[in-house]
Amino acid sequence: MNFTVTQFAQTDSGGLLDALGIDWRMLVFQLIGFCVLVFILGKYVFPIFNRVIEEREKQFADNAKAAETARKDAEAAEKRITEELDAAKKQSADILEVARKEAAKTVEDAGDKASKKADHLLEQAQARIDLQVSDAKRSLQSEMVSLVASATEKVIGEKLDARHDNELIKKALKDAER
Amino acid sequence: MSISRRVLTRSIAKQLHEGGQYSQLVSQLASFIVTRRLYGQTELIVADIARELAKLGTVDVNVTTARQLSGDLRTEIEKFVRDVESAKIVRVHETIDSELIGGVVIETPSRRFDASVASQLTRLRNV
Repeated sequence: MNFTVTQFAQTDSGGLLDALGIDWRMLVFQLIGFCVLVFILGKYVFPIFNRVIEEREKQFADNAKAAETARKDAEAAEKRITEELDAAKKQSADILEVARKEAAKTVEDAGDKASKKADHLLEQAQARIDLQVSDAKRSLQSEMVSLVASATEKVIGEKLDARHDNELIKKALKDAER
Repeated sequence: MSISRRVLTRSIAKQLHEGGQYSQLVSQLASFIVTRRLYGQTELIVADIARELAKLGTVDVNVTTARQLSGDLRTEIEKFVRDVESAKIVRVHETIDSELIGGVVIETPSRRFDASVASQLTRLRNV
Protein backbone atom coordinates (compact mmCIF):
# COMPACT_ATOMS: atom_id res chain seq x y z
CA MET A 1 0.00 0.00 0.00
CA ASN A 2 2.75 2.19 0.73
CA PHE A 3 4.43 1.34 -2.58
CA THR A 4 1.34 2.27 -4.60
CA VAL A 5 1.01 5.58 -3.06
CA THR A 6 4.61 6.19 -3.78
CA GLN A 7 4.10 5.44 -7.37
CA PHE A 8 1.25 7.91 -7.76
CA ALA A 9 3.25 10.40 -5.98
CA GLN A 10 6.03 10.07 -8.43
CA THR A 11 3.59 10.48 -11.36
CA ASP A 12 2.29 13.61 -10.14
CA SER A 13 5.77 14.93 -9.95
CA GLY A 14 7.41 13.32 -13.23
CA GLY A 15 4.52 13.20 -15.65
CA LEU A 16 2.13 10.54 -16.78
CA LEU A 17 4.61 8.69 -19.01
CA ASP A 18 6.92 8.31 -16.24
CA ALA A 19 4.07 7.19 -14.13
CA LEU A 20 3.27 4.54 -16.69
CA GLY A 21 6.88 3.55 -16.92
CA ILE A 22 7.23 4.73 -20.53
CA ASP A 23 10.28 6.35 -21.72
CA TRP A 24 9.11 9.12 -24.03
CA ARG A 25 12.40 9.09 -25.96
CA MET A 26 12.03 5.46 -26.53
CA LEU A 27 8.44 6.07 -27.54
CA VAL A 28 9.40 8.69 -30.08
CA PHE A 29 12.10 6.44 -31.35
CA GLN A 30 9.68 3.58 -31.65
CA LEU A 31 7.14 5.85 -33.38
CA ILE A 32 9.74 6.95 -35.91
CA GLY A 33 10.75 3.33 -36.42
CA PHE A 34 7.16 2.36 -36.81
CA CYS A 35 6.59 5.12 -39.34
CA VAL A 36 9.69 4.10 -41.22
CA LEU A 37 8.50 0.53 -41.11
CA VAL A 38 5.08 1.54 -42.35
CA PHE A 39 6.62 3.63 -45.03
CA ILE A 40 8.92 0.84 -46.16
CA LEU A 41 6.16 -1.68 -46.04
CA GLY A 42 3.78 0.67 -47.90
CA LYS A 43 6.37 1.53 -50.43
CA TYR A 44 7.99 -1.80 -51.15
CA VAL A 45 6.23 -4.68 -49.51
CA PHE A 46 2.52 -3.98 -49.68
CA PRO A 47 2.59 -3.21 -53.41
CA ILE A 48 4.12 -6.62 -53.97
CA PHE A 49 1.49 -8.21 -51.80
CA ASN A 50 -1.20 -6.18 -53.52
CA ARG A 51 0.14 -7.14 -56.93
CA VAL A 52 0.31 -10.77 -55.96
CA ILE A 53 -3.17 -10.57 -54.54
CA GLU A 54 -4.47 -8.79 -57.61
CA GLU A 55 -2.80 -11.34 -59.81
CA ARG A 56 -4.30 -14.10 -57.79
CA GLU A 57 -7.70 -12.42 -57.95
CA LYS A 58 -7.30 -11.94 -61.65
CA GLN A 59 -6.18 -15.49 -61.97
CA PHE A 60 -9.17 -16.63 -59.95
CA ALA A 61 -11.43 -14.50 -62.10
CA ASP A 62 -9.82 -15.85 -65.25
CA ASN A 63 -10.08 -19.35 -63.92
CA ALA A 64 -13.69 -18.77 -63.04
CA LYS A 65 -14.28 -17.30 -66.46
CA ALA A 66 -12.45 -20.20 -68.06
CA ALA A 67 -14.44 -22.60 -65.95
CA GLU A 68 -17.62 -20.84 -67.01
CA THR A 69 -16.55 -20.95 -70.64
CA ALA A 70 -15.61 -24.60 -70.28
CA ARG A 71 -18.96 -25.30 -68.68
CA LYS A 72 -20.75 -23.50 -71.47
CA ASP A 73 -18.62 -25.32 -74.05
CA ALA A 74 -19.36 -28.58 -72.34
CA GLU A 75 -23.07 -27.79 -72.35
CA ALA A 76 -22.89 -26.77 -75.99
CA ALA A 77 -20.93 -29.91 -76.81
CA GLU A 78 -23.44 -32.02 -74.93
CA LYS A 79 -26.27 -30.29 -76.73
CA ARG A 80 -24.52 -30.78 -80.07
CA ILE A 81 -23.81 -34.42 -79.28
CA THR A 82 -27.45 -34.88 -78.32
CA GLU A 83 -28.56 -33.23 -81.55
CA GLU A 84 -26.12 -35.29 -83.56
CA LEU A 85 -27.27 -38.43 -81.83
CA ASP A 86 -30.88 -37.51 -82.56
CA ALA A 87 -29.94 -36.78 -86.15
CA ALA A 88 -28.06 -40.07 -86.39
CA LYS A 89 -31.03 -41.90 -84.92
CA LYS A 90 -33.34 -40.20 -87.39
CA GLN A 91 -30.93 -40.93 -90.23
CA SER A 92 -30.66 -44.57 -89.24
CA ALA A 93 -34.43 -44.74 -88.97
CA ASP A 94 -34.70 -43.19 -92.43
CA ILE A 95 -32.14 -45.64 -93.81
CA LEU A 96 -34.03 -48.52 -92.27
CA GLU A 97 -37.28 -47.22 -93.72
CA VAL A 98 -35.72 -46.84 -97.17
CA ALA A 99 -34.18 -50.30 -96.89
CA ARG A 100 -37.55 -51.73 -95.88
CA LYS A 101 -39.26 -50.00 -98.78
CA GLU A 102 -36.57 -51.12 -101.21
CA ALA A 103 -36.79 -54.66 -99.93
CA ALA A 104 -40.56 -54.58 -100.32
CA LYS A 105 -40.21 -53.10 -103.79
CA THR A 106 -37.60 -55.69 -104.71
CA VAL A 107 -39.90 -58.46 -103.60
CA GLU A 108 -42.78 -56.86 -105.50
CA ASP A 109 -40.63 -56.38 -108.60
CA ALA A 110 -39.43 -59.94 -108.40
CA GLY A 111 -43.03 -61.06 -108.17
CA ASP A 112 -44.02 -58.92 -111.14
CA LYS A 113 -41.01 -60.10 -113.10
CA ALA A 114 -41.77 -63.71 -112.35
CA SER A 115 -45.39 -63.16 -113.30
CA LYS A 116 -44.41 -61.44 -116.54
CA LYS A 117 -41.91 -64.17 -117.32
CA ALA A 118 -44.55 -66.79 -116.71
CA ASP A 119 -46.97 -64.91 -118.95
CA HIS A 120 -44.29 -64.56 -121.58
CA LEU A 121 -43.49 -68.26 -121.41
CA LEU A 122 -47.16 -69.04 -121.70
CA GLU A 123 -47.48 -66.74 -124.70
CA GLN A 124 -44.44 -68.32 -126.29
CA ALA A 125 -45.80 -71.79 -125.68
CA GLN A 126 -49.18 -70.75 -127.08
CA ALA A 127 -47.50 -69.19 -130.10
CA ARG A 128 -45.46 -72.36 -130.67
CA ILE A 129 -48.59 -74.46 -130.39
CA ASP A 130 -50.46 -72.13 -132.78
CA LEU A 131 -47.54 -72.26 -135.20
CA GLN A 132 -47.40 -76.02 -135.04
CA VAL A 133 -51.14 -76.28 -135.54
CA SER A 134 -50.92 -73.83 -138.41
CA ASP A 135 -48.03 -75.78 -139.93
CA ALA A 136 -49.92 -79.02 -139.53
CA LYS A 137 -53.02 -77.49 -141.13
CA ARG A 138 -50.95 -76.06 -143.97
CA SER A 139 -49.19 -79.33 -144.46
CA LEU A 140 -52.48 -81.20 -144.44
CA GLN A 141 -54.04 -78.70 -146.81
CA SER A 142 -51.05 -78.86 -149.12
CA GLU A 143 -51.17 -82.63 -149.08
CA MET A 144 -54.89 -82.61 -149.78
CA VAL A 145 -54.50 -80.10 -152.59
CA SER A 146 -51.70 -82.16 -154.05
CA LEU A 147 -53.86 -85.26 -153.87
CA VAL A 148 -56.79 -83.43 -155.40
CA ALA A 149 -54.56 -81.99 -158.11
CA SER A 150 -53.12 -85.39 -158.87
CA ALA A 151 -56.56 -86.92 -159.00
CA THR A 152 -57.85 -84.07 -161.16
CA GLU A 153 -54.85 -84.37 -163.44
CA LYS A 154 -55.48 -88.08 -163.84
CA VAL A 155 -59.21 -87.63 -164.43
CA ILE A 156 -58.78 -84.73 -166.85
CA GLY A 157 -55.98 -86.57 -168.67
CA GLU A 158 -58.31 -89.46 -169.18
CA LYS A 159 -61.54 -87.54 -169.82
CA LEU A 160 -60.39 -84.45 -171.72
CA ASP A 161 -60.86 -85.15 -175.43
CA ALA A 162 -60.15 -82.83 -178.37
CA ARG A 163 -63.63 -81.36 -178.39
CA HIS A 164 -63.62 -80.50 -174.75
CA ASP A 165 -60.09 -79.17 -175.04
CA ASN A 166 -61.14 -76.86 -177.89
CA GLU A 167 -64.05 -75.60 -175.79
CA LEU A 168 -61.75 -75.08 -172.89
CA ILE A 169 -59.35 -73.03 -175.01
CA LYS A 170 -62.15 -70.93 -176.51
CA LYS A 171 -63.55 -70.22 -173.08
CA ALA A 172 -60.12 -69.19 -171.81
CA LEU A 173 -59.67 -66.83 -174.78
CA LYS A 174 -63.07 -65.28 -174.16
CA ASP A 175 -62.33 -64.84 -170.47
CA ALA A 176 -59.00 -63.21 -171.30
CA GLU A 177 -60.58 -60.78 -173.73
CA ARG A 178 -63.00 -59.47 -171.07
CA MET B 1 -18.65 -49.38 -189.71
CA SER B 2 -20.14 -50.76 -186.51
CA ILE B 3 -23.83 -50.65 -185.75
CA SER B 4 -25.61 -51.22 -182.47
CA ARG B 5 -27.72 -54.26 -181.71
CA ARG B 6 -30.78 -52.08 -181.46
CA VAL B 7 -30.26 -50.59 -184.90
CA LEU B 8 -29.61 -54.01 -186.44
CA THR B 9 -32.66 -55.65 -184.89
CA ARG B 10 -34.85 -52.73 -185.94
CA SER B 11 -33.51 -52.98 -189.49
CA ILE B 12 -34.04 -56.73 -189.73
CA ALA B 13 -37.55 -56.39 -188.27
CA LYS B 14 -38.41 -53.70 -190.81
CA GLN B 15 -37.13 -55.82 -193.69
CA LEU B 16 -39.06 -58.85 -192.45
CA HIS B 17 -42.19 -56.77 -192.10
CA GLU B 18 -41.79 -55.44 -195.62
CA GLY B 19 -41.42 -59.01 -196.95
CA GLY B 20 -37.63 -59.20 -197.18
CA GLN B 21 -35.96 -62.49 -198.02
CA TYR B 22 -35.94 -64.52 -194.84
CA SER B 23 -32.85 -66.69 -195.53
CA GLN B 24 -30.74 -63.70 -196.50
CA LEU B 25 -31.69 -61.81 -193.32
CA VAL B 26 -30.92 -64.85 -191.20
CA SER B 27 -27.47 -65.09 -192.83
CA GLN B 28 -26.80 -61.44 -192.14
CA LEU B 29 -27.86 -61.81 -188.54
CA ALA B 30 -25.71 -64.92 -188.10
CA SER B 31 -22.64 -63.16 -189.49
CA PHE B 32 -23.31 -60.21 -187.21
CA ILE B 33 -23.49 -62.51 -184.15
CA VAL B 34 -20.31 -64.33 -185.15
CA THR B 35 -18.40 -61.16 -185.97
CA ARG B 36 -19.36 -59.49 -182.73
CA ARG B 37 -19.03 -62.72 -180.74
CA LEU B 38 -22.55 -62.23 -179.38
CA TYR B 39 -23.27 -65.93 -179.05
CA GLY B 40 -24.68 -65.51 -175.56
CA GLN B 41 -27.12 -62.82 -176.70
CA THR B 42 -28.68 -64.72 -179.60
CA GLU B 43 -31.96 -65.24 -177.81
CA LEU B 44 -32.09 -61.59 -176.76
CA ILE B 45 -31.48 -60.48 -180.32
CA VAL B 46 -34.24 -62.72 -181.63
CA ALA B 47 -36.57 -61.39 -178.93
CA ASP B 48 -35.63 -57.83 -179.89
CA ILE B 49 -36.46 -58.53 -183.51
CA ALA B 50 -39.80 -60.02 -182.47
CA ARG B 51 -40.55 -56.93 -180.36
CA GLU B 52 -39.62 -54.60 -183.21
CA LEU B 53 -41.81 -56.65 -185.55
CA ALA B 54 -44.68 -56.39 -183.09
CA LYS B 55 -44.26 -52.61 -183.02
CA LEU B 56 -44.58 -52.64 -186.79
CA GLY B 57 -47.72 -54.72 -186.56
CA THR B 58 -46.36 -58.19 -187.27
CA VAL B 59 -46.55 -60.46 -184.28
CA ASP B 60 -44.90 -63.87 -184.12
CA VAL B 61 -46.80 -65.93 -181.62
CA ASN B 62 -45.89 -69.31 -180.16
CA VAL B 63 -48.95 -71.37 -179.37
CA THR B 64 -48.51 -74.53 -177.31
CA THR B 65 -51.36 -76.99 -176.89
CA ALA B 66 -51.76 -80.60 -175.84
CA ARG B 67 -53.35 -81.50 -179.18
CA GLN B 68 -53.29 -80.35 -182.78
CA LEU B 69 -55.11 -77.03 -183.23
CA SER B 70 -58.29 -77.11 -185.30
CA GLY B 71 -58.72 -74.52 -188.04
CA ASP B 72 -61.36 -72.45 -186.27
CA LEU B 73 -59.44 -72.50 -183.02
CA ARG B 74 -56.32 -71.31 -184.81
CA THR B 75 -58.38 -68.45 -186.30
CA GLU B 76 -59.71 -67.55 -182.88
CA ILE B 77 -56.22 -67.48 -181.45
CA GLU B 78 -55.02 -65.23 -184.28
CA LYS B 79 -57.95 -62.91 -183.64
CA PHE B 80 -57.23 -62.92 -179.95
CA VAL B 81 -53.58 -61.98 -180.53
CA ARG B 82 -54.55 -59.33 -183.06
CA ASP B 83 -56.89 -57.72 -180.53
CA VAL B 84 -54.54 -57.97 -177.60
CA GLU B 85 -51.36 -56.83 -179.39
CA SER B 86 -53.06 -54.47 -181.86
CA ALA B 87 -51.31 -56.42 -184.60
CA LYS B 88 -51.97 -56.35 -188.32
CA ILE B 89 -50.27 -59.61 -189.14
CA VAL B 90 -50.16 -62.60 -186.78
CA ARG B 91 -47.84 -65.48 -187.51
CA VAL B 92 -48.66 -68.55 -185.45
CA HIS B 93 -45.92 -71.06 -184.59
CA GLU B 94 -47.63 -74.11 -183.21
CA THR B 95 -46.13 -76.57 -180.72
CA ILE B 96 -47.75 -79.66 -179.24
CA ASP B 97 -46.89 -80.60 -175.68
CA SER B 98 -48.97 -83.35 -174.06
CA GLU B 99 -47.63 -82.31 -170.66
CA LEU B 100 -50.07 -79.39 -170.78
CA ILE B 101 -52.94 -81.95 -170.50
CA GLY B 102 -55.31 -79.40 -171.97
CA GLY B 103 -55.74 -75.69 -172.61
CA VAL B 104 -53.30 -73.39 -174.34
CA VAL B 105 -50.15 -71.32 -173.79
CA ILE B 106 -49.81 -68.26 -176.02
CA GLU B 107 -46.50 -66.39 -176.07
CA THR B 108 -46.07 -63.07 -177.88
CA PRO B 109 -42.89 -60.97 -177.80
CA SER B 110 -44.31 -58.84 -174.99
CA ARG B 111 -46.51 -61.18 -172.95
CA ARG B 112 -47.37 -64.74 -172.04
CA PHE B 113 -50.91 -66.09 -171.70
CA ASP B 114 -51.01 -69.42 -169.93
CA ALA B 115 -54.41 -71.14 -169.84
CA SER B 116 -53.12 -74.69 -169.71
CA VAL B 117 -54.59 -77.30 -167.41
CA ALA B 118 -51.08 -78.19 -166.19
CA SER B 119 -50.35 -74.65 -165.01
CA GLN B 120 -53.74 -74.41 -163.30
CA LEU B 121 -53.04 -77.62 -161.46
CA THR B 122 -49.61 -76.29 -160.52
CA ARG B 123 -51.20 -73.10 -159.19
CA LEU B 124 -53.64 -75.23 -157.23
CA ARG B 125 -50.78 -77.22 -155.75
CA ASN B 126 -49.01 -74.00 -154.75
CA VAL B 127 -52.00 -72.53 -152.97
